[in-house]
Amino acid sequence: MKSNDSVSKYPGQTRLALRNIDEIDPHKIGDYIDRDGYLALGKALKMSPDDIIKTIDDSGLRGRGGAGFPTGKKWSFVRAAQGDTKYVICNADEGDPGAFMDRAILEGDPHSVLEAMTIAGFAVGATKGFIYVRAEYPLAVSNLEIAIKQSHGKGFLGKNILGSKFDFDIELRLGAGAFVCGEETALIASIEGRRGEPTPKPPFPANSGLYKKPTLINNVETLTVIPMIILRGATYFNTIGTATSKGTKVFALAGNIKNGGLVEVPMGTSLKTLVYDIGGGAPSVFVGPNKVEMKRAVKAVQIGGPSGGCIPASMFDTGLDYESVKKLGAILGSGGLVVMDEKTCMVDIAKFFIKFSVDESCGKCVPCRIGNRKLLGILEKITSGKGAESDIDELVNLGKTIISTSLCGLGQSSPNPVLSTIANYRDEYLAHCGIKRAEGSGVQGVTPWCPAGVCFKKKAKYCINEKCISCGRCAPICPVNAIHKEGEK
Amino acid sequence: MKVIINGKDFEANAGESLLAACVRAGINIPTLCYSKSIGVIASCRVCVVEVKGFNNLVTSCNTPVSEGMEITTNSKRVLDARKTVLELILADHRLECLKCVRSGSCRLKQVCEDAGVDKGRFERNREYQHLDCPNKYVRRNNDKCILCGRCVRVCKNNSEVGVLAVNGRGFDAYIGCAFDKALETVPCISCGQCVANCPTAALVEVDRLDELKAKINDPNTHVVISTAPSVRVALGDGFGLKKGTDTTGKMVTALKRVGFDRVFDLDLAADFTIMEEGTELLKRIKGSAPLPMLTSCCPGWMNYARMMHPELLPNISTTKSPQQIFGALLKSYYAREAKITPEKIYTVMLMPCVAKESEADREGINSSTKYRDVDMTITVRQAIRLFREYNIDFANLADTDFDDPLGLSSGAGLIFGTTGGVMEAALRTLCEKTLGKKMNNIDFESVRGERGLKVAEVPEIKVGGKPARVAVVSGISNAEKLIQEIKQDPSKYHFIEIMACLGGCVNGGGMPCHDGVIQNNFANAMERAGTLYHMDKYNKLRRSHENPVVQKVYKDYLGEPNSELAHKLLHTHYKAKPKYTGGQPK
Repeated sequence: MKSNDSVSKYPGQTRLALRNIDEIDPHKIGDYIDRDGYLALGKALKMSPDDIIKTIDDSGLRGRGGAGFPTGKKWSFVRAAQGDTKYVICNADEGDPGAFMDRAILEGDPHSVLEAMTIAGFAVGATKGFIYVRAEYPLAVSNLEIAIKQSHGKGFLGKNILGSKFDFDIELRLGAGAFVCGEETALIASIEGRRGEPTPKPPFPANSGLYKKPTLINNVETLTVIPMIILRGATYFNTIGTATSKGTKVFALAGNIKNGGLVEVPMGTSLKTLVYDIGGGAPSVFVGPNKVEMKRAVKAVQIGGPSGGCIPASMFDTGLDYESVKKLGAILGSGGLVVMDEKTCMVDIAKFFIKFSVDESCGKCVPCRIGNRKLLGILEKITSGKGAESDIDELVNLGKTIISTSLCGLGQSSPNPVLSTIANYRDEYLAHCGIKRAEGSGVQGVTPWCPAGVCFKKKAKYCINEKCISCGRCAPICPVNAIHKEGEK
Repeated sequence: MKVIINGKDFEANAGESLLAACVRAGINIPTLCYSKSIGVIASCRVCVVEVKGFNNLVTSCNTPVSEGMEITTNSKRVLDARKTVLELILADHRLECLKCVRSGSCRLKQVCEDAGVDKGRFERNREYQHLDCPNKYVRRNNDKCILCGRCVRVCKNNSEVGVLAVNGRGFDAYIGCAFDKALETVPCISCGQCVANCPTAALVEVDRLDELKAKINDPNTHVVISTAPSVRVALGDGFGLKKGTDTTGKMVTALKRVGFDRVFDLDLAADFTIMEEGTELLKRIKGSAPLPMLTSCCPGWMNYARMMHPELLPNISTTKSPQQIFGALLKSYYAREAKITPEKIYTVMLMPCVAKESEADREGINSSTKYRDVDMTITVRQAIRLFREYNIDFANLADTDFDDPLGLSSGAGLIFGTTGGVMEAALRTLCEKTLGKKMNNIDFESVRGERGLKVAEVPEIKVGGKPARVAVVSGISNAEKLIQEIKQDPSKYHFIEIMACLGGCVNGGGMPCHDGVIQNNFANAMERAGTLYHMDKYNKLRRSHENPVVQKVYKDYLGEPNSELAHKLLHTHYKAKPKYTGGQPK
């Protein structure tokens, strides 16, 4: 079976994490072995755990799940933690809208993840691994199941791996579709069979994680490059990228872009290169019977999903690495890049992402549970033309408080789309509030309008007239329950 | 270790939380979800402080101190954040504070007031549910719930049954039972710990005070109240008295002012319980019924046993609880003495407990088919409200004695109010009966104290030639562990006292709600227990079998312990109760 065919081969990429995608048949372990698969495991088992961790540390690899924590450090914490039993977890609960790099890797190159987890287990002293993969990825799940079976058959998993004294086994755990379960403590709760809610840190999973044992949690994309780093050495990896962000990063190009799909580029590659050279810019729109081409300009990208922020086209010279993106009020995140053209309303986009966070909040802590709902309420007020400038200030104040007081990463980053759109497109917010900045200074009141022409559109509605005989046949089949019976209590 | 709090050096203890350190430094950080008795989840985010080196604010309840930490508890950023969090909570809270039973004891209200919350900054985003989730004893109103999760934690961690949990997600999350079943259709033991730990009025016990007032005002009804041992050391909480103050005399005065025709002492019934239960134990040791014998006076425990461990029912003492013994005696012996027909006597019990109402309701508990032995129970919280309503200046009341003929009790009956008390009271009587002489020291220290499980060997009482082994356990979670032990080895203990609430009745589910920064119901409970032991120590009468009223009632009316009449009035039988009943609620 072919793996995810959205993995396209646009020019100008450096493919490390995606090195095997479309090159091998994920159902054939031989294909993986032919491309140096499991050589790294053999090498690692002959190294000391400390040397393995040093290699990872030297490579400069940082967590690709979003936070960018140095992977070597994380491994050394788990190795140093006291405990007779330790666990390795692969976080494959990819949930950002528009992000599918983990899916591509799990579907197209599952063995690289298994090999990396086994190496990690050997390095930190764990004998058991779990892959927490979302149930919405059935192909990833079945390919992983096949890979685990094959790996057992060849002696890469199980007892005395490759003749060593090291035992390691991997089990799958399927997530039931909660975004918050990508947060590591919530993920652990979910594996344990509890409600997927984050718990306060400390204690960190490295000290007290799954079943209160020291636990290493790495993201799919982080793991998949591990075998290559072990096999080819730290310098192979750390010569790519910037001073603080080493190696490559996979981005999922989506939205108003010609060449959508997964692309892998060195860290530090500018957004300009990514959006225009690789992505081909925004697609044209063809209008009228003669199909007249209307070219559209890229307005901004939303990077990092609902936890990230928007970067306007004027800042596309920014190199994509952890620090530079953070400076702009966004996060690199898992690498979702939603490209927006000039017909996109930034207030509407902010509303979309906040709606996502409201839906996906677990509800445990107050700022995230209620605060995000209030942000949504204020945005709804603004996009219906009832907002005032004070509402924009309230969005900023409340957003900052949600960030500084929330329990987990979800709440601590959920207001980012609002704050970054306000920072970059305040005039659009003001327009929705009926305020136009006059030349020079001061503002003048006008009718609220949406510069991109998205909001305030009146939708046609169906009405019921006096001929209605209350037969009730329309009510049960209405998909949105819009029909109510009146006049009877 | 050294830390800096608000610019001042402070010597913190390694391992303690920022909150604990700040409290010791004299700083009152507000908290809602935190409770020392039941653990930390850091969900309310009200206790945030600023720590140098952290970008975000940190919750002080769960963050441990570390060397050199610089903590700021009152910067503008902290105070504004706290206020915003509280304003968010209020935006989703049913603001009917003026007509709320927790108006005077609402933790949320107190914290908001302290934080200077003075306007409704955010709009409400949903309709009120207008729905109570009904139960005969406990009522939920999720419109007032702030999702602090205290009820969930206490139900799971202390009461073991874990029938409450968070349902739904995000803004639509709410506390409820699995599959939205009603509380009374799941294995809720009605212990009321969820109510006692609720910071708002999202959980309250069912209120029948209007019915009570009607009975008091009815000249044809003789309304009698008796007060449980632990109540007298808790009522002061509602009137600003020091924790654990003995308010026995004030309590009697206040109840008389409310208009009760007679105020009796339930401790006396505890003395009867000892006479009956002690005799029963000696019979069991001789082989009449299986050992170990388990106590039956705690209704929370009885609800748990009937649902979760019906196989243990033959081991549970058939002796009724003091409440039910008193109810039965009031409507038989007292009715005869006072020449009032039992149907005209209305018996009320002032209890530290929510489950007592379920005990009075239980099928088969009454000694007659014509009337209920106990007509109503009220909690300490309800009594405090009642006194307030009746304009009673409780703290400044003069003392009054309990009424005759059922007003005299022993110190043994008094200590029923705390964990280990039933055991100690029983041992006093059993040891002296077995030895046939008075003992000099009747303080059984080994069964006292705050530990969840206490065990002792009693050389005075022999079982098969060896000293009897007894165990005292409080908190259903601890009880469950002990039950698993005795399943492994049924001969490990001979007599076991079990209380559903941690610490016994002094920490009952009907007790006044917590206050203070370090929310610690258990510490309050231990203060109360200390007073009970102190009162027992200076009581002239410390043995149940020496109580002249007990002796008189046996002589004049019951005959002897475990007599036929005593069996009819003072004993009962238990039936298993299904864990789940009914279908889905409407």
